[in-house]
Amino acid sequence: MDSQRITLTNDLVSRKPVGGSDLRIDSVYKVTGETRYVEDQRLPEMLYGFVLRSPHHHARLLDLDVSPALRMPGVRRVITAADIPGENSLGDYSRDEPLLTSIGAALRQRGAPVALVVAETFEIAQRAAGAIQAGYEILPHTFSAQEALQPDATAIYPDGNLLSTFTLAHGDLQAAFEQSQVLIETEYATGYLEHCAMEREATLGYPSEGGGVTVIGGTHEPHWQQGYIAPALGIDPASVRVIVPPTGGSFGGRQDPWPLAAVGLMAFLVGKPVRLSYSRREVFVATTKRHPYHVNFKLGATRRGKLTGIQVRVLANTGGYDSAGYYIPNYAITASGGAYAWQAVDGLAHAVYTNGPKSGQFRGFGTSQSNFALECTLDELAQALDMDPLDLRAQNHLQQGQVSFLGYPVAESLGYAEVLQAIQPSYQAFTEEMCSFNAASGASSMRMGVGLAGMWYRFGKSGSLRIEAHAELAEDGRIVIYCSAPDYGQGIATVMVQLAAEALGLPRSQVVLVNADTGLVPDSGVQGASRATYFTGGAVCVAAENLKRELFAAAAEMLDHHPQELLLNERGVSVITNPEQRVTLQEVAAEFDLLGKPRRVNGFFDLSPQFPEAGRPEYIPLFVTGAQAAQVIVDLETGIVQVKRIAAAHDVGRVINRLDAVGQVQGAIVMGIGGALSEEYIPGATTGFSDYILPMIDAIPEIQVHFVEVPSYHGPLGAKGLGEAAMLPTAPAVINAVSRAIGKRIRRIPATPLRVLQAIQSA
Amino acid sequence: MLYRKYEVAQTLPEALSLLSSHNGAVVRPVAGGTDLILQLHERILSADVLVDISRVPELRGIRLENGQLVIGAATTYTEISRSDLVLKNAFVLAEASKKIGAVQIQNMATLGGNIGNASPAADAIPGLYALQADVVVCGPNAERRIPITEFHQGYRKIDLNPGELIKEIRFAIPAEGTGTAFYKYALRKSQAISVVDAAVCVQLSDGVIKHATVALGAVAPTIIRSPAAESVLIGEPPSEDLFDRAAEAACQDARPIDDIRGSAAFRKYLVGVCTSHAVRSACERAA
Repeated sequence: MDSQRITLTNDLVSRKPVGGSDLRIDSVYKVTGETRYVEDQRLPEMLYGFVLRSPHHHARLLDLDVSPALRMPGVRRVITAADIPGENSLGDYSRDEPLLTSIGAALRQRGAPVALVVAETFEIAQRAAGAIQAGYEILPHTFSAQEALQPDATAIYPDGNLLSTFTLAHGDLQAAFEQSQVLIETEYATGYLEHCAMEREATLGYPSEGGGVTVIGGTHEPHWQQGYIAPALGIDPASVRVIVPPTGGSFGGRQDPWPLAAVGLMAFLVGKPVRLSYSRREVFVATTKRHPYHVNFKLGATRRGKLTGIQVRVLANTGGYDSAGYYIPNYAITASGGAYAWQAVDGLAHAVYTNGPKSGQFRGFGTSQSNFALECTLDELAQALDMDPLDLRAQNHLQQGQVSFLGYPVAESLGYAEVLQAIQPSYQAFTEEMCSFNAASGASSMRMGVGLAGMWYRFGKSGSLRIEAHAELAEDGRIVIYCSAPDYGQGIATVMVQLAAEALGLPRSQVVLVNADTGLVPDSGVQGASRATYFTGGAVCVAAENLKRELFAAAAEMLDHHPQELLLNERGVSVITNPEQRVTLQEVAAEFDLLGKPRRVNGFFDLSPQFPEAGRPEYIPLFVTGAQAAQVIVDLETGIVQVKRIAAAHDVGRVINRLDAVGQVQGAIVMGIGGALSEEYIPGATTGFSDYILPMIDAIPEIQVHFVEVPSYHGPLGAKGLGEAAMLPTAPAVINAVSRAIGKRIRRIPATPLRVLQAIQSA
Repeated sequence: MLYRKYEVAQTLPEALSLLSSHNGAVVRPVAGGTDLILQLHERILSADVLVDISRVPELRGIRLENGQLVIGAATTYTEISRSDLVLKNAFVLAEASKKIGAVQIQNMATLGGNIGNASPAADAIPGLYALQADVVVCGPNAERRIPITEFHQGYRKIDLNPGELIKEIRFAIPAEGTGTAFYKYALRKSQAISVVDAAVCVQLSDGVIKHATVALGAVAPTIIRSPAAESVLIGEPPSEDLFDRAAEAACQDARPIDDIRGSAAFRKYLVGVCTSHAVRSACERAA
């Protein structure tokens, strides 16, 4: 191992933060209540929207009489599919998903939208929606992907219920299995999860001059929304302006364009500002969920624990509508092999329509479920081999440059060996404590368990390899950064300011961010797959450096010195050898104007030269890795699990904002615990927080976070990605710990007390 | 609108008169509102007028009266769980009060509201069954005193006439040597509705259980007593074996249903868990 590139830092204050501070640029406004979320915004003459939704899991819309609603005082308009001026679709975001269901067409899940009501108050709109007479022919429904694939299953779509398939194969699997002394086969299942963002879906639209419309709402990709909204309105995408407001959480949920398109349609047709706000019940019924998976593995290993072949089959339940579920099989398979060396690989995944809620984007898009199944299966293999689970993983970790599970080497630095090394002391301490706890447990029904899980996560997939940002020297001498890095609470806006400040060598207070507004900033691509720090941050750094170069050129003329002899700091540009000889940035800005030199420059973070189209795989294989160890106490009598401690080690490359990076890992772990133990969305039954069991503060364990900073080859300052990946190891680590505590395997999550008891009592 | 008019009563006579003074309108009393407001939002109930009774002095507070503990209907769970009189004489109620919802709920919700809402999963009610409490209701003309087991007539059905209010709860202070306990099984530590719960009172005399009441929650349309478990306990010295037998007997009395929180079979199992834990704690506290 090359010790030169390993930095292990656990001390939060050991190093000067990038750009001078870790404090978020918007913290003060959030804690003082100055931040204005969509529901805090009121425009003159603003109207309120309400959605009439299908009460049935599967039905045909037979007829629709909106006249009782229109007769109610205060109702301005009722919009049905027939009123949509353009295409009744969400563009290419979601195949076959209409914006509103047409008469004669099928409603494929409960909560599917039937009509939109616009009225003077929310209450009137709600009551008017209740007055609409809708006739339904109820059709048979299923929530099960296996059932939906049966030959005699109800056809949810005319072409059948299979949405998409992905395969991956290399090496000779049969030979690999034949060389294996140990072969195991497992079946794992995961359920629906709801994002539970603090802010419910809320969007605001208003007509803009020239026949366009402006939409304000949380999203990951404002420029892409233009392309989803405009076709429905029958206008040019440039006539749609999308502004991302402060947003109270996404976790992928805000990637669904529907709430933005619906409010855009209402504002466009009514010609007034319209606000659409979901109730929490509506969030539970109608928004996207995480795809439930059934995963089957067959793994081989030699007697000494060398991994040989891997076969994986995934059935992903995409619910009633696509909502990007089309891509799920690709992600499902990619995540299912881990950062391990395999001789032979055979993967096959299907995304299947059912009548459950539409599954869509969810933190880790399609990867956390596969990783859960893989990392639990590896534990079963370790048990079959009578090997320590950490040793098994360490012995098989992928080396830099080695052919990966995907069939080719990864394109970024890989720190998995370092990650496993970093988790070892915590894992060992947890295990020692477990042994003494259980030895002393006597007649008590409490048993301790320790579990370990790793992960690899392909970050940055989707979107362009060439990302744009702008930097401007303002008249007042401040630097303005223009980019699209929507901040829904993860703190990415602060990271952009930190990176710009660092690149310029200026304090953060001198950098202003204009962010995520199609009317003001360039398209920095989709902010998904934890790519924003790497790609958008990279573009911000390039733009800042380009501006700095221009600035030095102008200052060099003004000071009559060579650019190399100059220094930029908060006082302006000065001569290194004589700091009193300087010009302020305000003076430099005036000089730009005098010379007719543009004060705004662009910057591109562009990986396409390094990864030319010809010869590279579908997506460049950028990966981050991590591992977590969990220590739990299970009450054998009640089946209740308390997670006591979790240690996390993640290779994120260079940490840009340590406070937020730690916060991301902590949040991911809590979300992972919820999905592992208690959060269960049952279609048709779950209505809200009283029956969707989110972890409370008393369920949160002691959390240790270790960052393994193996610098990236291409990212800004050596950064990689983090937000989604940190959640991947939590559920398998917790479940491996529970399984160890009870001496039986848990193969379905959430491991509710009932499932734990059933596992304990199973043969 | 959730309601058209909100009136605040300052005295009990005023509350009673406000309750019956709106002809033809649906008038409902409100104290903490932790159940009512949700039910209005969900349109499970409707109301034209809400009469706020949370400040009525006759409905508030905890006092001893002729060997009886009296708890006003508008007393909050926080008040109950911090009351020395309750901690000393009816620990089961303090224990249950701290398991209801979260601190914010405990600060607002009232004992009378929990009784009136009559959920079979109500956490404070099993303790009242175990303490053999009576509900005192008052109307425009008279007061009635009804055993809580009769006041709750069925699933969310109570013996309350239009114009009447739940005034207070009364029960005899348990005899010397009594221990009480509440045990709740929920899908999370706080802010969760009981899957099953149990409340127990036992009186020990010369090392033998002289008197026992066992009440079970969320296993039938109302809270129930378990006569089978009680008869197993009475006349026996406490032992792990006895707790197991009482748990088995309680399972026979439970008639649970399947719902989103648990299947009937799971609840039957949990009745045993809750009963044995509650009986063990009550015996330890009695000794």
